[in-house]
Amino acid sequence: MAYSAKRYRTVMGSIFALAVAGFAAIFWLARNHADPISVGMFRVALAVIIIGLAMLAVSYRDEVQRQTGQKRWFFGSMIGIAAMTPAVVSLQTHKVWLDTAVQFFFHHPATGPLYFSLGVMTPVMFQAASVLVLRLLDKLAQGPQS
Amino acid sequence: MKNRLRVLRAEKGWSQADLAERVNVARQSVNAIENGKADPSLPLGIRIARLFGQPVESVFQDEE
Repeated sequence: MAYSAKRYRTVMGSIFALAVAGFAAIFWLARNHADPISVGMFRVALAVIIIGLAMLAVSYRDEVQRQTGQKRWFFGSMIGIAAMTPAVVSLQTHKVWLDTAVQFFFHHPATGPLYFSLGVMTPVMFQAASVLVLRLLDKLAQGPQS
Repeated sequence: MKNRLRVLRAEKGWSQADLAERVNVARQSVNAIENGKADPSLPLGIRIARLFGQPVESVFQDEE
């Protein structure tokens, strides 16, 4: 599809609104002890819709933006994993800290499934944070505009 | 890759946003190409060169 800044912004706005509403709904359902299987299915459906919209959004970017985005995600992912490694190694050797931190943040005893979710989410969060940092650096290093 | 986009744009009196609109890319993309941070694909390079009525090789040059 051809480049369209307006469509890109519309789709990104929808993704953001959907993500906020979806997370609020998940939080509310979990608080109200909804059936975990239904909540799980809702989460999967939400993720599929958001990924679909994100792919649609990419199709509205121009070739240079796509190229830059790909590079940024590649290097951001590498940097994110590299940045995460010392934290992971340190927490493995000081597991008591990890249990305490998890209980503090989630108000929930540290369990296997919770650690599994955290294990999946942590690299993704580190990678996304690195991509955001690279994006900020790109913005700061932008050449002269006229 | 070096390019003469800034000069050609100035000759026409166009801003980066004007050029971006004419070749249907973002203003930031024109900026990135102009400053050598991104290389355009062949179709986009041809589109830009045609817009200025120049051959591609006179707009974009290899650094070597």
